[in-house]
Amino acid sequence: MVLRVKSYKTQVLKRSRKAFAETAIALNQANQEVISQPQYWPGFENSVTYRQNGEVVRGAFRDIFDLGNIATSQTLNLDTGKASITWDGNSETPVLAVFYGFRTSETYVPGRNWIERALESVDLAQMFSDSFR
Amino acid sequence: MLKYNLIAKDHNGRPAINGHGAGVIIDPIKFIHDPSFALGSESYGYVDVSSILDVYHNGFDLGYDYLFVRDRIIELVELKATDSGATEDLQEVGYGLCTLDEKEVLARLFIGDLATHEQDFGKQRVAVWHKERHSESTKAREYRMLQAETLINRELGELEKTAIMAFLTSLVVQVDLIGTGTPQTYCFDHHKNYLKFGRTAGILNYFNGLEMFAGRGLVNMPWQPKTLTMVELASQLTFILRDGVEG
Repeated sequence: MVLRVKSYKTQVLKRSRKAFAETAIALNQANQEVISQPQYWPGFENSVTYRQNGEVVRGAFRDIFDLGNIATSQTLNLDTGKASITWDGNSETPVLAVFYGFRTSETYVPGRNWIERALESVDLAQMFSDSFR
Repeated sequence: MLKYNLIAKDHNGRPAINGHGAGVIIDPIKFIHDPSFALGSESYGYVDVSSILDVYHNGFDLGYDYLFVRDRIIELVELKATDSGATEDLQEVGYGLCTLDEKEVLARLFIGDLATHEQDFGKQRVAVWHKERHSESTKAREYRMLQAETLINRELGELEKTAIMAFLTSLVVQVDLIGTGTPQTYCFDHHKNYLKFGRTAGILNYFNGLEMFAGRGLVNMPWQPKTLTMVELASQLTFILRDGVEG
């Protein structure tokens, strides 16, 4: 007698990998939107910014685009069960300074944590769960 | 570079979608999302712990970069201790008299006295000498970074915390750009055949007016400090240690 054992392991793995990938892609997209679309960023209420692209931005409702280096340098590296999103500003825009803020002798510019903002719109666990079904 | 890691792990903290082991663990999935710094290159981390261990275990000298930066920091901390009216006994001033906050700041910069640091924060678990040492080194670095961030988050107000994080970030980036974490430093510290590459030139050579990468085989390597000089860097660090950060 031959006893056959049917394993669902491969199928489950496949579905979980797919779900993870979709979750990571969604977060990637959410970050892109937060960077590119105007948002309310506290700390800029009384700020007037003369951007390198010539635009003059007033107040706290603003995007993080300017020359677009942060947005265009966003890269999603997707692997099995792990992913990373990186921003290098195309080696032109100081990403960390924008993200965490910076201080000069004249002024203090608050950080803009776009990752945190993106996570407000993407529930990772729920997204994975929905995709896995 | 800013890097955000997203890792699916199971309830025991193991990778959840690995396909190995006894079975596939799907539930509960938890996401470890880690808005971490990506501090340039891997070698940056190696300069930290492994370089200390080279001295600790073998007694031979290590990358000039690391020594130079460390000495500058110790000097600044001594200055702080003197200014604050602490004992002038040079055996007592310095890293040992820093507050935990400041020690974490220094840990963040990967600098400090190893023994004192271990006393306060536990022994670094970098036990495996050869191949696994590198990964352990990276883990120790990440752990210390996490500690620093946690403490800063807990102890400081929101605005001040943000300013400090920004300040530290720029410092770390500057240190990275100026003189640590180069492949050459890595080779000197870790490569079995490092003599083949010659001794690693470093920031100290630069300040002494010596030719960078003058070692064998590296004569023509370009080297340009991109941002602050170490003196400027040190003055900024003095500011944060002595006067705090403007809120």
